[in-house]
This record gives sequence, C-alpha cells and structure tokens, in this order.
Amino acid sequence: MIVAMKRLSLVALKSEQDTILKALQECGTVQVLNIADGESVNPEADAVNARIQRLSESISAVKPYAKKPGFLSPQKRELTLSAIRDDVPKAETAAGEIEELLHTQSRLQAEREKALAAKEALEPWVRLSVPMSSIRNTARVHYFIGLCASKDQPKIDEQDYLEAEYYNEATTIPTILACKEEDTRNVQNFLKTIDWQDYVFPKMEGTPGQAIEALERRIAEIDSEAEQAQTELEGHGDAIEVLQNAFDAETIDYDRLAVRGDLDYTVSTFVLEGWMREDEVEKTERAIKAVTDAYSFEVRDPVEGEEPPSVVRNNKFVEPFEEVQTLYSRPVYGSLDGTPYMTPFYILLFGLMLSDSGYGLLLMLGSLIYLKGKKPTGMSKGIAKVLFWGGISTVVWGVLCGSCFGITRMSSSSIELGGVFDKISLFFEKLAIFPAWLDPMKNSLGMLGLCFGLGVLHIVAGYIVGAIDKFSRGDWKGAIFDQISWVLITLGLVIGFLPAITGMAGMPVALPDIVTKIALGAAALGALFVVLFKGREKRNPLKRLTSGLGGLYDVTGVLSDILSYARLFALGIATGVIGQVFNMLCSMLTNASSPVMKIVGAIGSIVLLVLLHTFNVAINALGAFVHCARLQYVEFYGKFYESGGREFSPLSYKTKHVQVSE
Amino acid sequence: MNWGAIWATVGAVCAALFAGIGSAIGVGITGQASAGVVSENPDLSGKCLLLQLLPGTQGIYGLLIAVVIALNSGLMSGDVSALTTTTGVRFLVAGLPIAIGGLVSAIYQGKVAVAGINMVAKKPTESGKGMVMAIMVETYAVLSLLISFLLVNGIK
Repeated sequence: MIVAMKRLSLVALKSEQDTILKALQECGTVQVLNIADGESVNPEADAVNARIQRLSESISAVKPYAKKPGFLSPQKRELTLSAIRDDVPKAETAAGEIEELLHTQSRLQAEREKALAAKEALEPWVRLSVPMSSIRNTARVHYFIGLCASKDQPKIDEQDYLEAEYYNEATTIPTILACKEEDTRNVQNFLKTIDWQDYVFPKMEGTPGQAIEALERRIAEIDSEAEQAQTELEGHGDAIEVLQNAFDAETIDYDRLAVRGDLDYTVSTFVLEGWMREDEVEKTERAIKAVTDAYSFEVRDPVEGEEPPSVVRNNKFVEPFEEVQTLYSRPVYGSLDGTPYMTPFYILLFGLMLSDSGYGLLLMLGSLIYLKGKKPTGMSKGIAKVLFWGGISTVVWGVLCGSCFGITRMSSSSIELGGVFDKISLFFEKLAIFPAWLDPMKNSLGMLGLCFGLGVLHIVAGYIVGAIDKFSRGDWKGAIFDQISWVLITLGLVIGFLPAITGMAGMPVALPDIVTKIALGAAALGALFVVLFKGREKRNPLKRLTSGLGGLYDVTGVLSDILSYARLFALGIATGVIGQVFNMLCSMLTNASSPVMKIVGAIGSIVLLVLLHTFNVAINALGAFVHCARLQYVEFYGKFYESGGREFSPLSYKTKHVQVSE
Repeated sequence: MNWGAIWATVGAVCAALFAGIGSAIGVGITGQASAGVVSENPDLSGKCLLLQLLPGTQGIYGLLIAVVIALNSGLMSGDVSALTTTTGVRFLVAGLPIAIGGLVSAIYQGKVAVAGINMVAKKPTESGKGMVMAIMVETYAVLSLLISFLLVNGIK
C-alpha cells in the first residue's frame, strides 16, 4: 500500500539549527523542500564538497593497490558515526600526500617527455665535436644552424660566400653555415629558396654528445624518482578504508549543510518545510524534542495541487518485489501500489520461464549465500530475494514441466547420450519425475495452452484489481465500464471460443452448450458497456458512440497481451534444450575408446559442464527476470497502474562504504 | 544425392549462422559502448555487462533450433536415409523465422542496449529501465524461436 504523507512546517531558533538538523538526519524521516528565495550561497557546504572531491580522487588513485575485499565479505562495514568522523583528519593527511604524489607523477611524466624530445633532436648532431655554446655570432661572422634536405646540399656548396659543415648523410642533414656579417641578408634569402629548417641548440653545456649523455642521466633520475613515487602511492593502498570512512563522514556533513540552502530565515529563526511519512511523525517530533524545546512543529495533510513523494509499505514477503516495481516506476501518490498483486504472479511466471529444477536450486542457494555473506542493502538485497523466491518456483515448475540440469525423462529415449550420462538419465527415467505433468517437447500445444491460460488469468486479475480499486474510491462507473466490462469480454470470448480453438488444435475441450452461450452473452454485454459508456464524459452522442466503438478496438490489444505469454513457453524450452545440448556435448567427450582418453574426457567434461551450466543459468535467469518484469509492467500494470510517482529521499545517512550503526 | 539431408543441414546452418551473426553484431556494438562508459566509471561495469548480454540470446536461440533440427532430422545420429526432399525443405523453412528474426532483432536490440548503456553512464540507477527497453525488442526473437520450435518439432 502507499503510505500517507504529511507536510511538516518546522520553525526553530537559528542558533540551534545545526543541532536540530543533525537530529533530523539521524532520524532520517524528513525530505526537506526548497523554500528559499532565490539562489543562496553556501560556502561551508562548498568547502566540504571540495574535500569530498579530493577524497574521491584519492580513493580511485589508491584503489588498485588496496587489499581486495573477500568474495563473501559484507558490502558495507558497520561503524559508528563518531568512528568515521575520527578518521577524517587522518584521511585529510593521507589525501594530501596522495594528491602531492599524483602531482609529482604528472610533473615527472612531463619532464621525462621533454628530455626525451630534446635528446631525439640532438642525436643527429653527435659528430659536432665543439661545445654548442661556442657556435655563436661574432662581429665578423654569422652562423646559421639548421637541417637541410640532402638534395639541396650541392646548391649550398655552389654559394662561394658560404662555409658549410655537414654532420651526417641522412635525408635531412644537420648543417652549420658560416658567412661574413655583410652577407647575412643574402644567405637568409638563399635559405628561403631551399629546403632549410632552422634549429636552436638547447642551452646545455658541452658538445651534443655530452648533452645527450646528460639528458640520459636525467631520464634515469626521473625514472627512479617516478618509481619511488609509485611505491609510495602503492603504500597508501592501506589507507583506503580510512579514506572511504572519511568520504562517507564528509558526505553526511555535506548533505546536512546543503539543506541550509533550502530553508527560509527570519532574524533569529529558521523555517523548514518537508514531507514525511504519516507513521513517522511521532518519531520525528521525539527526535527534535530530545535536542530542544524551543520549536514549532506543525503537521498537515497534503492539499490539492501538491505532489507528495510516493512511498510504499508492504509485509516482509512482498517487500523485495517493490524493487521490481521501482525498476518500472513508482506509483503516483494516492493511487494503487501494485506490488502485493504482482508478487504471486511474478513468482509463478518466473519459475515457468526458467523451468529447470536444477537451475532453480542453484538460484536459491546462490541468492541465499549472497544475502548471508554480502549483506547487501537497497536494490541488490531486494533483487536477491526476488531471485530466491523465483528459484523456489523454478524448482516446482521444473518438476512439473521442465528438466533438471537439462536432463528430462525423455532425454535417453529421444537423444542418444553416451557414457555416464546415459546412466544418469536412466536413473531419472526410472524415477520418472521430470517432467511430471506436462512435457513441452511432446505436447507443445498443451504447453502453449497452459501459457495462454496463465496469461488470461494474469490479465483478468489486472482488470479486477483495477475494478476493486475504483469501487473503493466510489468510482463505480469507472469500475464497471472500464474494468469489469473487459473482464466480461476477455473471459467471455476465451470461454466462448474455447471448444472451437482447441478443436482446431486437435485437442477439443468439450464445454456444455449453455456455458459457451452464457460466456458469449457476457462478452456481448461487456462490449455493450464499452460502446455505450466508454465516452461517458462526452456530451455529443455521436462523439460518445465513436469513442465507444474506438474503445472496442482495444480487444486486439487484449489479444496481443495474451499472445505475449507465449514467451513463457519459448524461454522455458530455451533453458531446457540448451542445457540438454550442453550435456550432449560433454557426453561426447567421454565416448573415447581408450581408457586414458576416457579419464581425460571425463575430467574435461566435468569442468566444461560446470562452466556451461553456470553460463546457461546466468543468462536464462537474467532473461527470465527481465521478461517476467515486462509481463508485469506491460500486460498486468497496463490494466490499472498509475506510474510516475516521485521518489522519497529524506535527509539521512546516505553512505557508500559504511553502514552507520548506533 | 540425398537432397533431404542437404536441405535439413542448410536449415540448421541458417538458424545457427544468421542468429549468431546478429548476436555477434549486437553484442559487439554494446561491448564498444560499455568499454567507453567503463573507462570513465569502472564501477558501472556490472550494469553494462548485463545490458551487453541481452542481444546475445538470439545466437543461443539459433543454436537451439539448429540442434533440434539436427536431432529430429537424424543428422546427429547419421541416419538420414529416410529423409525426403519435402521433409528436408520443411526443416529449412521452419528454421527461417529464428534465422531472420534473430538476425534483425539482435542488431536492433544491440542498438537499444547501446542507448541503454549511454543512459546508465548518465543515470546509473536507471539501468533496469534500459534492460526493459532492450527486452521489448527481444520479444520478437522469442516469438520467432517459438514458431521455429513448434514447426520443427511438428515434423515427424
């Protein structure tokens, strides 16, 4: 059911603002609304946010070097708030050091690249045997240093006012030209006509050869410095828990400080407006009373035009399925929570889609181990529980009309399995339990009938849920004309045409004539309701009639909804037959003639079987989960559900790594 | 020459081949999109992987039909002497829905999943909606699988 919400107006002293907000955050029951005028500046919150950013960068920098948490260790550590607050100074120091190290690393990286580039540029000049600094213009002589293309070398040699030195014979030749001061202009013009590129020696001591050696030494130094920085960074891997604790502590502070921007202020008081659950009003007031007695705590119901957040509350069994509903959309506040109605159908249909009791067992055990070991919270917890119930249903459906790890009663008769698997399937054949009721491989149409039958049940249930909801709101017209009429049409048509349809499929179901006549009559009555009252808001009788006739067209929608349940069958065989194929593949391995190969094959096939079946259960469980959810969202919720509710997000401890305990 | 066996083989090959190609394309493009998102935020790799897996099922469906064709036609046991040309062609035609339906739906499902992965990058909490969108496309692969299976299983 959807929980009623209350609007809170809290007025208290500004001086006690932080104490009160702390108490509210610990209580975790109030979603604060923004009633501040205009943009407010919040330097304190911004400062905390900057620290959070720094911590988050540090965490991702040292994460690769931290000890990995055990496979089954809980997702969040349980610590008290003061314990993680105490870690903040330590984490600040560590984050500072890590930031410094990251800076050093990027500086060294840049320096290394620069040195490498300089070294590469100098390498052609190694044959120059005088110090680079000695080649500089004097009063009489002008030098040109550069790289010239080898094809232009003869042209340089032709110029009689130039002295040239070449330092190697590559395609671009390192060249030094010397000329008299008065010829400078001539040489500059000449160089423009050939392929010439100026070069400037780096400001370094000695000959190019010596400079290269110096650069190499520098690069080695940089490398060792970088290595040291890396080791230090890796050493900080142990600090990750402290960093994460501090991250959560700062996040908690930030959330609280950010709320200040949502409040309204007078000279000495603050005003807080927010939503809370009706059943938590007392708890909230107690929390405030505990810290102050100078306050005004006013609570009222939501008024027309307000859109309170939507929260649903259900018993422990149904609760995990709220996550499936949330994946789609929350219900609009004041409408109907679909979870309790969807839950039994979800479990029922999930099992039929997976329909392999072995896989069901794996799913049950897997989700149990995950729940006990990881102690997940929020959505993963809900989904794990959903899979647990789905697993139970899968075991049951597997026995009734599926397989067990791909082995069915008919495996050995229809498919030639070899070796051990013949014996295993013979064992199952003797037990003769899989599938105990309906074999989809032999009786495809029966199975299809079962799927459509479940579909009709599901759809009609959807209409009835909507009808009951509308009745309870006093909207009896909507209940009868929009909901019950479709129950009549759907059931009436299905029952009325059942003998004909099953007759076409070769397995006629005989119904007494009177039953089919009544059923068709009911369908006609439903259709009449739709035609006459679908457009009951419209005054113009002609428009009303066209709207009614248009409404009748929805019968095709109901038909396609029913056909949509064929997926139950298809996904069921996809699991079972693929499992069977995997078994077959592996049994081929054990068919070798020599005993050694038999043993090798047996070991290989066991490893392969585990891997392949794990893959199969994973991909089919994913498929069953999502396809089953779709049947709820489209086929079931389409009949009554109002989607679009807003999330309830109270001021509370929203932590990532730590579970805050009392 | 036993044309029946040849047609049945072609049917099995088409089912596994085309559905497999579709899945390879679908999983391929989603994998590229996932890698982009994960390079920015490694924590999202799990959610991206789930979305990437979705277009992979068509290949499995194709394999399933291929195996059922091979089993029912006797290609597995090697005894195909009783296979007439008509029956062989029936196997081929029965395999076409999953071959073509699988090919096209896997590619489009891949595209939807890529969009879903982009959505996860912006709103990590909404990955469930992305999966539901992709599964809407898969519906038609499932229906193709069903009709292929019913037809193949009906050939005695």
